[in-house]
Parts: sequence; C-alpha cells; structure tokens
Amino acid sequence: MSYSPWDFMRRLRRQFESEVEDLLKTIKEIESRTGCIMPLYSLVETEDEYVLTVDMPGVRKEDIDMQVFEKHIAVEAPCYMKIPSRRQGNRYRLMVELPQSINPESVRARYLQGVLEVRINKRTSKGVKINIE
Amino acid sequence: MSEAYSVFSFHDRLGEKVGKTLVVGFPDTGLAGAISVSYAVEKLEPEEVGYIDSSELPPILPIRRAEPKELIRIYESRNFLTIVSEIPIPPPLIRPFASDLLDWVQKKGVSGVICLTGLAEPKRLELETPAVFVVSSRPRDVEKVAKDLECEVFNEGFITGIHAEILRLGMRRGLEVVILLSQSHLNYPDPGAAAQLLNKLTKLVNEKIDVKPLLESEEMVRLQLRDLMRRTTEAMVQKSREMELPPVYR
Repeated sequence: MSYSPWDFMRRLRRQFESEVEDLLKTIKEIESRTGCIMPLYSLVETEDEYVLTVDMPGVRKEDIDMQVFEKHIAVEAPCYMKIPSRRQGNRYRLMVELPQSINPESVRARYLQGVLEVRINKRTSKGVKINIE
Repeated sequence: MSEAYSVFSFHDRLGEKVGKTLVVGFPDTGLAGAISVSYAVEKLEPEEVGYIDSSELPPILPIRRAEPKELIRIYESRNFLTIVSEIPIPPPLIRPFASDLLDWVQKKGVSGVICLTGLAEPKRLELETPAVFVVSSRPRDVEKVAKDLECEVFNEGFITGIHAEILRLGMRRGLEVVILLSQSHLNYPDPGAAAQLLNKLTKLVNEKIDVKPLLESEEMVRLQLRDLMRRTTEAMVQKSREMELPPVYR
C-alpha cells in the first residue's frame, strides 16, 4: 500500500483541528451550563514562582472574588459590559489547578489594564542538614 | 515560481497589474495584526475583491452581520490591498501559504508587502503605549523606514510563523517586505498594540485611520475575540513545539 507523507501531515493536522474544536465546544458548554464567561488565562512557571494572568476586561477591582487553596485558585467577578452574545452570562468564573501545592499566604495579586495578575511563590524543599552521630 | 503546484488558490477581480502595497496581519501574538487589518477594513470600507481558498482549510464559514463570508478575504482600497483572515494559518500550511501568496503578489505586480504583527512582551502590563519595531527584507532601507515611522529597528531576535516566512521569501525573491511589530500580550487580544500598528501604518500607506474608537471599545474587542485567541494560541503552541522556541521573542 502506498503511503504519502502528505497524508500523514493531513491526519496530524485534522487531529489537531479536532482537538481545538473539542476544546472550544467544551468551553461553550461550560459557559452555557453555568451562565458564566470563562476568561482567557495563562499560567507561567518561573524558577521560584508561578505567575497566573487572567484577562478580565470590564471588571471593578473591588468586585473580584479570589479564593486561594493549596492546589488551586478560584476567581469570580461580575463583568459590567453589555455582552452581545446570549450564550454567556455577565460573570467571569475560572478555576485553575496548580502543578504543585502552594502556601496560600504567599500569594500576591493586582488588577491592571483589565488583567488580573497573581504571583504565587513556589514551596521550596530545601534539604535539612543532619548531624552524623 | 518556487512551488511545483499550489495548495492555495487566489480568486480576485483585480486587474492584471495592481501596483499597490499589500497589507496583511494574520492572527498570531495578541492578535495585534489581525485586529489592525480588520479595524482598517471596518473604517475604510474598501471593496471586497476576492478570497483565498484551499481544500486544506478547516470547514468553517464566518457570518458577519448576517452575511456568510469567505475565511480569507482580499480587499482593495484607494492606496493599498488588504488580506483579512478569520483563522490562524495552520502551522503545516505556513510555508505553502507564504509561497503561494508571494507568487500571487508577483503575478499581480504588487509593489510591496507590509506585515502587521505582535511582539510578545512579558511586561506588557506595565506599558501604557507599546513600542513598535520594524524589520525589512531590504536591510539597507530599514533605518530610513524606522526614522520615517518614528519607531525602532528590530535588531536582534527571532520572528516565527507566517510573517517570518513571508519575509524570508520576500528576501529571497527580491521583494520589499516590511514587518511592523508592536509590543503585545502573547495570549490575550491586544487592541492597544493594534492601535500602535495602525498609527504607523497610516504613514506608510498615506491613509488616515482614527484609532480612538478602537481604544474606546478595547474591552469589548478583547471579550469578543476570545475564541479566535484560543484557536491562535493552540496553533502557536503547535508551531512552538515543532520549533522548540517560544512563538516570538527578542
């Protein structure tokens, strides 16, 4: 049976497209089920911290409800823009799972230009020196 | 022409030799380029003169103001042509797309190509007004272009994706390709970055585009473009995996 590299590339691309469509479908389902807007977000890992940014235009800083747990962060806030699509409500809601447990006390956050930025210190696991008897 | 066959077909009502500049801004970093060209088309209301198609494109049909539209459209205004794409060019199709595009550019006698795009800036939140950088297929002219546009020359770094490929082919074929890069969010739609690109573009194409309404509706634009940004981010991630590089950095 002949085998074309183009067919392989095409299959890969279609698989990728189908994954993207599935992701968008899931987000739309969640939004219509919960009546909330799932905001765009990004979680970046640096050497000593995680930086979570959430794109939430149209929000008042004082209305942002952010709950920090050991393994995840939950953010909720009302959006004060008139949203043309009826599939969403007018409330942002997001739950982000963290790659490792953190100390919730170490978290700092600010809301700037419609973006919520959350800085989370990583738990350091420094070795403990043991004296040899 | 470089390719033995074309993956993309160009359908247009343009004359044999156009002689105008082509402005493109495909969805990538912060959608800065895509927002710029879409906004320019909305404001200048140029004539829609054609479209680009391929059997390799996903079966998506955009509806705009109750009107079904082509995925990748060609517009002609007084001083320049514009291509607006509703989807990011899928990474495996970037090379054939750039090649077919420049074949068409040469066939139509287009005088030069201006690419508008974003430059991922990790500290974008701290910036009130993003800076714009310029790079050209004709390095000898770039200082003058930067001076005329009051922007900086992009001196060191990497550009990836569709605009990089257009620049590379332009360089090889002796065509004038200029890329304007505005500091931008990587994964969030960035109308502020798009407005800066438009401010510079107006000088290059001698056309006035008022960016005030774009900046006033910035929050709504960001909210409405979430799906396109998600699609674009996935495409950029796929491209980065192929290249083991961040999508754009300097």
